[in-house]
Amino acid sequence: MLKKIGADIINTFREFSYASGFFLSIIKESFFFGRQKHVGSRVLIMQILFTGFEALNVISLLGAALGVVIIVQGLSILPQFGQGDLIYTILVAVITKELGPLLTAFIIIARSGTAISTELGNMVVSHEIEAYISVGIDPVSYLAVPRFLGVTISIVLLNLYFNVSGLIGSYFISQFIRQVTFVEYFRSLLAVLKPGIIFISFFKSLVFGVIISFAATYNGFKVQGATTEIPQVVIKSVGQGFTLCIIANAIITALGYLWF
Amino acid sequence: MPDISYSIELKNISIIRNSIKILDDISFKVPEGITTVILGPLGCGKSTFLKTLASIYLPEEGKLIINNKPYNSISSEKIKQFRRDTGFVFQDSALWSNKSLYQNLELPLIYHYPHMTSDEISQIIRRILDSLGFDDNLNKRPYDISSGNRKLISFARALVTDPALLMIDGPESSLDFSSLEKIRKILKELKEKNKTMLICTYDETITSMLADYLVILYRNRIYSHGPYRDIIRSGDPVIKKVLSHVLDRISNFDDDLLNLMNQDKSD
Repeated sequence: MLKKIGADIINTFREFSYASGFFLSIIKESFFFGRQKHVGSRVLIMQILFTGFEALNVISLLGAALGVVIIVQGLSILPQFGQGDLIYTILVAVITKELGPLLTAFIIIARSGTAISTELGNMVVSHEIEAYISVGIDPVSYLAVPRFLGVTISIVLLNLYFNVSGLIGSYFISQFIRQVTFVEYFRSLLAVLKPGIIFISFFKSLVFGVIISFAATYNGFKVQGATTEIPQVVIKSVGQGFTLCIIANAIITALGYLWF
Repeated sequence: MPDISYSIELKNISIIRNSIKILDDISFKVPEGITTVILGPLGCGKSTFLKTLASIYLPEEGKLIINNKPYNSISSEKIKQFRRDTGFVFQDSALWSNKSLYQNLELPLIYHYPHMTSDEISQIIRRILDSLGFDDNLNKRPYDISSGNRKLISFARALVTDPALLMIDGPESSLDFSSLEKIRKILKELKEKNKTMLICTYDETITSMLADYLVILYRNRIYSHGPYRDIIRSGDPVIKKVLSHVLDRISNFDDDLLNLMNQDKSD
């Protein structure tokens, strides 16, 4: 019993130190990405295309749908308490500050996080990673870093797009409930859209991008050699992505509340 | 490619996977400028041994020493150069499935020689493929071609950077007779250029034609190693057993025939 507990502690410590080393290695190699951009840039572009561009439809639909829900609920409830103007504060708080970055992260975990873990896991099984090592190409700098940068850049851009879709979508629906001019609507929105809120939203999506891409690449590389391990690491990658993003979201929101 | 040579040495290394020793306390120095053939029964760790020499696998115990320096103390730039100068052919080809055949061959060149023009790259690739007799469409993906052709492309990928050292895991696997003949011919040409080669094989012809030095792996350890003539004549029962698995005909050769063969080799 004691032996098993001891072994578990040692394994956890070993895994933590390996994960920390992998993370530091990705960060270090990201700074040197320009040095080998002649081979890595294509992987980066493909990652941005897959994560950032191909997810535009689903992100814009989700953003607009969330905007619609908030505006319908807000405009039907808030005026009853004489707080109709609070709808702008709620829109910004929910779409820009909270759910925008988080929902975007969830979509990216489901689309790109799973894809990255599966792809890397398959590459391990088919010895493709070993083939990269054998020709002198570092798998971290060639495979992990472009995916890390691609996912992080994409999620920041998608969060922006989610916000635009959510705030514009809510404007169009609001016209069916209460007539507000476009200028008045956006002036009211901009009045509550403080730089601190924009910073928090941007910072959250940046952190989520780091978390998702790290969890996906780390778990993908962890496959030992059996194809049956691939779905297991994908599930792990998704679980870690969701959990860490939710925890990071809570921490950043709390810190934002204290600072801004 | 300028004359580059590497001395590679393993000192008491062990490779452990899932608490099982794949290689156990192995010490070996790669003989330079000659061809070493690694023989042993299935599952004795031949591929792992080769991958450790190529620094694809790093030992959990012991030291990998390249040019008299422990691997851990060598700069990443020097490791990159070492791997550029070491061609490795995988038993299962291990081509990058998300790239075309051409991209598989061009990537090592683009990576190591960023200033090389696309025309120069194309010429190098064409020359190597011509020597291998490969004439299929290079825009195809690895999964669109036969396993034999994948093996040829894997050979070509190992040769594009004109390596000083070549490591080949199972050159005969997946190949039909005519492709195998081409590979034997290429290997013979490389041997004539005094390239250091390490080959894991079950192919009698490749062994008898190329081997200058033999390593016998048995039960995850080096059982014996030495010049080809010495090992082939050994009366040791384990060596005889390994040779009979691998080189059924050669182990039964009489001395006259063996001398004739060695004479042919030195010619």
